[in-house]
Amino acid sequence: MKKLTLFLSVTSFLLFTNCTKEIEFDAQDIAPRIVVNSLFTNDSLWTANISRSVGVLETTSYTSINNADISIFNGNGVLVTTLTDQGDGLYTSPTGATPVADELYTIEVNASGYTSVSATNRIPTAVQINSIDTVSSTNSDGQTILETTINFQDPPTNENYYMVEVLVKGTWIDFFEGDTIEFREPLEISCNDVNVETVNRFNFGGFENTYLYLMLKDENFDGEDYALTFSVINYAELKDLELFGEIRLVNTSEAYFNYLKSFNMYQRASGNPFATPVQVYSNVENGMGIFAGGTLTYWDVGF
Amino acid sequence: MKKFTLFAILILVFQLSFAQKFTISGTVKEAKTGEPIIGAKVFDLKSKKGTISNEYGFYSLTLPQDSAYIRVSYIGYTAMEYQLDGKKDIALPIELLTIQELEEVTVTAEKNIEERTQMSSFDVSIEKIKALPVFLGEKDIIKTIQLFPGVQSGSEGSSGIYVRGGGQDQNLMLLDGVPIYNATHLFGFFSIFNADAINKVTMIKGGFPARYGGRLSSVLDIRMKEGNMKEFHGEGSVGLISSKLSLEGPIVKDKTSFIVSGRRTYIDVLARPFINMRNRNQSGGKGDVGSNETQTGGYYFWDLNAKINHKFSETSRLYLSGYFGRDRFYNDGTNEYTTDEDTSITQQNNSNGLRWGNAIAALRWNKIITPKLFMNLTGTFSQYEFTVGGENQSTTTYQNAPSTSQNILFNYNSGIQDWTVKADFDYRPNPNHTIKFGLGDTYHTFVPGVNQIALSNNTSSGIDTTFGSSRQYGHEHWAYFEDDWEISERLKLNIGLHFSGFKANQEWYPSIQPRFAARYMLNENSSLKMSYSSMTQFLHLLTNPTIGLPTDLWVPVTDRVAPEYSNQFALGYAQTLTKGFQFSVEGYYKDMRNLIAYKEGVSFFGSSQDWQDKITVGNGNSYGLEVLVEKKVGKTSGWIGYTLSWSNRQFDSLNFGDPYPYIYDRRHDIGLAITHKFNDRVDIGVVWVFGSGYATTLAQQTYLGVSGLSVGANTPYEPVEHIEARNDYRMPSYHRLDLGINLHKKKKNWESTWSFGLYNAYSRQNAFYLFFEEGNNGARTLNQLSLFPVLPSVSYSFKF
Repeated sequence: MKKLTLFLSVTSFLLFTNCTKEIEFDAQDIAPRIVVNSLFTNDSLWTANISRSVGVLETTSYTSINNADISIFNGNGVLVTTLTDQGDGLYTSPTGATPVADELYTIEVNASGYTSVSATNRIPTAVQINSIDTVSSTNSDGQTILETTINFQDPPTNENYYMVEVLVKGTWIDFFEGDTIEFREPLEISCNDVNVETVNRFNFGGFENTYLYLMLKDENFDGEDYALTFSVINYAELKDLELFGEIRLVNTSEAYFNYLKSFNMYQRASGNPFATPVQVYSNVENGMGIFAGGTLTYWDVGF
Repeated sequence: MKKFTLFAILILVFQLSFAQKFTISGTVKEAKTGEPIIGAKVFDLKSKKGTISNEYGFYSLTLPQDSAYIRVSYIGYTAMEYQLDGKKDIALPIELLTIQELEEVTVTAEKNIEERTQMSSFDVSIEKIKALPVFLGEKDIIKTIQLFPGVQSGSEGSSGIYVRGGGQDQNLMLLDGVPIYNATHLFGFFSIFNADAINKVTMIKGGFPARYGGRLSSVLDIRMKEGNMKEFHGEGSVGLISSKLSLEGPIVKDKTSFIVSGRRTYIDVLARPFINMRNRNQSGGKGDVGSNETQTGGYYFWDLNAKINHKFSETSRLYLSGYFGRDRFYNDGTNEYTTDEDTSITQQNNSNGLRWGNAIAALRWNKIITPKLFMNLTGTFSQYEFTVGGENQSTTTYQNAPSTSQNILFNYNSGIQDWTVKADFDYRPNPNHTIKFGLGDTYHTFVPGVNQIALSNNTSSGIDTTFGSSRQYGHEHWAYFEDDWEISERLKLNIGLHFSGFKANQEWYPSIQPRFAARYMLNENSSLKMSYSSMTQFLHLLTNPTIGLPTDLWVPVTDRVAPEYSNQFALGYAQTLTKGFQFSVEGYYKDMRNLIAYKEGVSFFGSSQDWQDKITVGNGNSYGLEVLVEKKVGKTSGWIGYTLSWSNRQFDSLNFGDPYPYIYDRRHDIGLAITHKFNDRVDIGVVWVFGSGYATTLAQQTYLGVSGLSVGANTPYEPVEHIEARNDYRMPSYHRLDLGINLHKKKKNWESTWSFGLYNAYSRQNAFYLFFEEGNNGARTLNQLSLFPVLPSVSYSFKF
């Protein structure tokens, strides 16, 4: 009996002991690569944030890449502009150098110690806006909301992708320093449109279908007039503070749309052991990140 | 009407094409037990014509001459011979005696591998299953099948099978003709099949005969024993993990018999003393106030096979069989605590757990309608269900206020339930044709993931809500016709048509699936074979690749989700060598369409989304080469198999639309299984497996990604794990050696066997999971988690 007990004890120990050990990492390439984050629109300077990736075996933190050579070429291979290092990995073009719609652009980034990367994208044609209407109303819960409807003409034949966000702008005083600080922040908006992607949806203050920005594509309204309706949720508070806002409609490239959609999916799944893994979209060859364009239309709105 | 006329003409042609003189028919059974012998060879030495018995032991042989010399044989049994006069049809029930020793003979007692039209298949003997060393001493049919070429095992210790690049849901597992939906216990470490209750195991990987349908990649046809018609017997075993007992015998001798076989684990029983000890230590003894907590938990599984069969006559038989099994993992606890001021006492009861299981029942009637026509009518029920949940009840008693109570309940359920009726016929008009035809219908009910949350207390009505996917229903129906046709001595064909359809709400999905197999004898010992199969599958299994719980969901085709289809071609060569060795080599190519997978980022658990919104559809293909050398007779027997294969998937919305390796794409796979019988008292078994690493997804870089619609000085960034491509990394190779020895003792009415085994004899640390970790020196390394080092096992089995 004693021998059987010993045998069972040893077996149980062996059975329930996990074994871990270090193994060789047989990876093709884990050297750090250049990361390009550049979202360009027709109304702003060229801007790119350049940093390095961190290989899975590295223990260093994320760092910017300074003194990189960044060039923008048009579809004919002609140099359009170069970007200048502003510090902390941020590079901008000189004043007057802004992207134009329908032009194909290629960014090339070279930095010492890294494999050069490049990416190509274009700003889509500007969208014809038919109208934008805002009206203040009270919803069924007695909350004051600002309902906005943007009516636009979707260009036919091409696939078109749209982003909509509402920013609040204002200033606040730093009481310690006495400085006036400007701020621009996205507002929570509620939308029930069936064509809106729900990947970045969340619940807020009793509102289902809340977003910080809307994403939709013209799959179901290609070439047609389309009316997109959404509501600014904290309108009552904004009115009290006498703030100003900006409604922005971005006609984005497919790369822009795919990146944001996959990025949101990744954030939602991150840390959830029951979720399937997500690959975040990138169009940067030999590197990571996103280089993508969009046409911006915006309206000022007073709250 | 036209089709019926054509069918009748065909039957007439078959009848007239052969100037039959007489037909012998009956059943082939084991003399000692009355168990049917499936695949016994019934051969006329005069005309050189023969046939084999079907899955119920039925045979029929129509001969042209006026007399015959019949030889009936099957491996492991003494052949019987009969001299017959052919003046009229003869009903000839045959009983074969087992032989004590398997001789090193060249007289083959069953169809040689090169003779069979069926390619891409193999049978596994129960004796071999019991003789081979296995994981923790639990003899397992699935673990043995995993040793054959073309069958991948999945992760360490798993009882899943992945056949020729197909998914786990693409295997039609039949227990006495009834489909099983989850054939595993203990999170996949053991299968539900109790070897003591099984008569025959056949695996088909390609060249599917028309009588099979509904799955793309394989058919695992398992036939239960029917119970000893002559004498009462029993067998059982006591092992480290479980014990089992089988009893069988006649209720009315030679008329009615039964078999009951049960198994239960006792991990929970073994753990209970340790849990009780912990509870005593934690409670702090009697009379203490403060916190008083007890916990109990454990895991167990049980299963039960039962069968009754009644013989009305030599031509009519009724069977009632069932399988019931359950796994349960539970963790219960109580807790009682007081506040610091001792103004209230709270008592809590917690109950959490997972449970899953199958329940199967079948009622079957066999009838030999004519000496050439056999019928089987079956009604079956099959159910699989899975539940995970918990309940928390708490009651707080206050000194100066009314008491309060609260109850929180959470459950997640999924499952599938089938009701089936079918009719199968076996028609043997002459020795050149073995015709099978039949039809059937299954009514499916699917519960593809339902969440229930209930909150209640004694002060308000609370919440009771159910969300998730709603129940779905469907009718799956089929009909088939196949003919195993011996055109000449060299050339034999198996041609057939399988028609099936699924009615789902508004959509009806019909499918016509041609089947073809051919065998051409190059000489008396070798043959070339080829086959083509078109298969359709109306059920999908949603599998989450990131977690290993039995939470896989069976879902049907719907108005939005179409069936899966496959086409498989195979070409092979088979030969019987000297001294009983058999050799076969096969190449295959399979394409699969409309496969489903979870979209990126979806959570299969606790979500209110309907499952149809969580999936994406794509395709796959697989191809490879399989080599098998097998020896079935002699003191030393076994096999070695090698597989070289590729398996890929392509989904437009996964991996950016690029093809990627299937998770179980294993380039090289070797399986070696050998037993050697020294004498009646001692035999040993050796198993060695090797597999190159499976594919896995590893994020090899991280970076900061822009989170928003613009890039500027204050733009927020978030860390992103960069995955270059799905399944672009390979796990380390897997290999393992298992050794076993069986010591037998036989007395007059009692046989006993002590089995000692060593799983993973050289303690290879095979990777189960890979992860990155920062070590003590601050450096990050890739690490693997292994599950099982060397594991000894012992079991005691007995027969009486």
